[in-house]
Amino acid sequence: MAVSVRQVEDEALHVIKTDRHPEDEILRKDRLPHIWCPGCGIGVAVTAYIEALKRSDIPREQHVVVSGIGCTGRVAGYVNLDSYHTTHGRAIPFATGLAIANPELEVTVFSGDGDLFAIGGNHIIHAARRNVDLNVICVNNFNYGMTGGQFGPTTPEEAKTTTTPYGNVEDGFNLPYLAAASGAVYVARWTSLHFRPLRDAILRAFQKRGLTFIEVVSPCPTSFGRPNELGEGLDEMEWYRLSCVIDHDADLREIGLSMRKDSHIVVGNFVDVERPEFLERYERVIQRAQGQRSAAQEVGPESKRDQAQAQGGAA
Amino acid sequence: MRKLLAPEGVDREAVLAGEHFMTGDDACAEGAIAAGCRFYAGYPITPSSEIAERMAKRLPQVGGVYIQMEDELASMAAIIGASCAGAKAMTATSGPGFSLMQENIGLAFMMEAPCVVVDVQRGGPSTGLPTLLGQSDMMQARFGSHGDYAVIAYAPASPQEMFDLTVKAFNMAERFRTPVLVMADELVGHMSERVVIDPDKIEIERRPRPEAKPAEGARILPFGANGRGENGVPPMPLAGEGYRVHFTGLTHDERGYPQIDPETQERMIRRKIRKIWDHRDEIVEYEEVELDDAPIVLVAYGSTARAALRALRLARERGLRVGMLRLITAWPFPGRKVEELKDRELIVPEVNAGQMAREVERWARKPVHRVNRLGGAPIAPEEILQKIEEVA
Amino acid sequence: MRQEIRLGGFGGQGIMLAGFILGRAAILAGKHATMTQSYGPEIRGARVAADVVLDDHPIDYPKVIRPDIAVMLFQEAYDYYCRDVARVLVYDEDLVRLDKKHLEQEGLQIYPIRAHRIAEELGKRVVTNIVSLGALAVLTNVLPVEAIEEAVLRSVPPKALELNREAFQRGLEHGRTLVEARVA
Repeated sequence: MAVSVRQVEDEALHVIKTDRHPEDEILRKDRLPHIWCPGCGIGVAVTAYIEALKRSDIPREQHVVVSGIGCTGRVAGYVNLDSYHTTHGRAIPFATGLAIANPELEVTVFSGDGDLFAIGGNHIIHAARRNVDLNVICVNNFNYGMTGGQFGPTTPEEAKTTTTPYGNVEDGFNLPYLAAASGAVYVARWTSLHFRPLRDAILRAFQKRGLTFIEVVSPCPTSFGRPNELGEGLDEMEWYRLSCVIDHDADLREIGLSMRKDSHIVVGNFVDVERPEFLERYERVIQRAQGQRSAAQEVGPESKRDQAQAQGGAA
Repeated sequence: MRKLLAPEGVDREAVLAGEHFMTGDDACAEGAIAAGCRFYAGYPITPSSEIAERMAKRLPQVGGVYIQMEDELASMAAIIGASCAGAKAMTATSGPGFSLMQENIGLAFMMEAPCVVVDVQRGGPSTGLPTLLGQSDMMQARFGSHGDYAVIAYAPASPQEMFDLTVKAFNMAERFRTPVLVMADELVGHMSERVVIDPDKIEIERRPRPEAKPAEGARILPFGANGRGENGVPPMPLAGEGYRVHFTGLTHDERGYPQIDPETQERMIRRKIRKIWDHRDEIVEYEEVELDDAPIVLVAYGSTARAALRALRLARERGLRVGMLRLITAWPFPGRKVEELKDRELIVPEVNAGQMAREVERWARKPVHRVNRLGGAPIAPEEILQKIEEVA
Repeated sequence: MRQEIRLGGFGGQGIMLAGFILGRAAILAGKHATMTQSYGPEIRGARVAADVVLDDHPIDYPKVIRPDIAVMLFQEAYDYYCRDVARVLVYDEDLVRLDKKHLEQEGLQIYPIRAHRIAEELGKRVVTNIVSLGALAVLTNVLPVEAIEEAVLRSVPPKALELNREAFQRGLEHGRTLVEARVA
């Protein structure tokens, strides 16, 4: 159905006139205002998540958010859902426990690039490998914002941060490539400018069984944008508008980010494949174990397996 | 797809009833199964790996899940997550892995998430003596995580106690909504002995749960201790029940919301500590052996208590009146009992440089006699006997 | 009465299983038992010892202090784990050469057995341990023969049951022959 410009404007005015925020129901109003800086992209990612959640047919109480530490780590504190704000780097294994202990839950890990790929880097590759049913949303702002703008695992070479005052000598991770190589069944990258595609990607992630990964490229004007000539939040969003290239079939090896103004940001829904999720496969283990259960009632010298096996294997 | 919710009572089908000859590690795993543990996340490490191996075999038989994580950081985080979804969850490790778990043991304390961590101690520091006995994580058990907290830690001295105290560890974890440690050692973990498992004698406790149903707008206080007094244990809502809870490692108020100020820190951290400390008389356990007439008392725990018991018998044969106080809980420490013994000569044998001896001295308010080995072999009864003769 | 038994051999010989079977037999016979183990630096192919303590009462110290009985099936294990044995020394004469000090030790009963050779005759070297247990059962009376046999049968996989039953029987016969030879 066609919607007139007038209608859109009316709705916008209505929103502005009311003291209700459209996402009030899913936000912990009593926790607001939030701590994020003006121009930060985390809020857009949260709104996209909430809009996706509203459109998903999974009951609200089954949605759980798990965060680590950092600016994005605070997401868990603002959503009015069962939410867990864990230790630095450990959101994914914590979420793994939740998701396995209650497979009805739709568990989303919301965290930053540092939390997920530096201190927690080992966990995401293994969670993807074993294909636990988790949605991982990584807000990538290329630095440790909360602690004052130190460089992190996605900071591009030559970028200036408080701990790379002469320019970064390391390369940043190419997150979609890493997630795909580790086995994620769904991999997408959007920016905080791409609200609707991001919302739809999250909705798709809810539908997938297994580990999904969505990178949200986001401005951090306070700590990253200004020292790296990307300007304020709006300036960076404007640059996204000019430089982003949508290419769902991109060669993931080629889509690392330099965040230089003369570069492009390739965005898209890159990977959408099927692979049995961890618990689906573990069900096989349970079936086999229960088939053999009677034999196991007799306790053998389990820990001295070499002897027992040698004895049996030889017969 | 099944939820791993903790069973209400004893799941008799799952319990390996009978009389067995079994290693301590296997008995520990069987204790966990009997207590209703249905989620194990761990990373193999000698001398605890046999617990993982047995859980990998047994859990799927009873509809549970064994998951081998990428490291101990992940293992500890995963069992807290599983606990928040309602499962009884456990991990087992040894010294190096125990060190890696410490940060998240603090998280479990902060989130008041029941879970059980087993440390089958070996010689340290660092990689130390991977296959050989140690008891040198006793202070790490108490103080290993940063910040102020209280902990419950058991010290089993036999495979039977590996079973019994693992069951109890789950019960205490559930009752007090807190992580509980089982501080085993290589000798107790690897030795085999008679283990009697009687489902009729197993008691199961479950964490306090909110009475009010989740309703739109209605809120419960998952960290508020409502209904159980100021120092009580608050009811624990589970993920997915609709309470829309927030759990955080940040200092938080009764709702669970971060509240970064000194008043909340005092109020909330003190309550979390006191819920254990105020109930220490119900938690603390020890065994007294021929204490009444004994001017010399051995204070021992874990496998070393068995060498001490033999030394005690040898000493009695020689006419020396020796008794023993065997710690069953290392933490909370049975301080009042030790205080009662302050006029006796106290000998503390342990396979470390003198860790629990410091705590004994703190309560006895005087120096104690020590028998120490730094790991690798148990203390021989003769060594303890020699000290008894020196002291006598 | 406390009795300490040390079984020594090399990794893969089934020493740990033999120790476990003895412990289990004790439980079946209503006694108390502990089993502990020692490995060399390598887990396989090196010397190992299974230490079993038996008693009518609950056992305090679970480790062997001075073995009353030693069963040695490998030279290196004998050299390392069998410096001191009190009462009975059973050894595989094809695999172990005894130390002079043991030959001269007063009151030490020494039984050379051929467990390894009998196991080879049965076609499976892996049952050396079970043959030895059969011999040990006859030579020492530490536990009722029926309890040990029952423990053997409960501790081996079903498909290896007959082989192990036969190995145990051959061990018993071997033991009886040795006792008769000694009496004669």
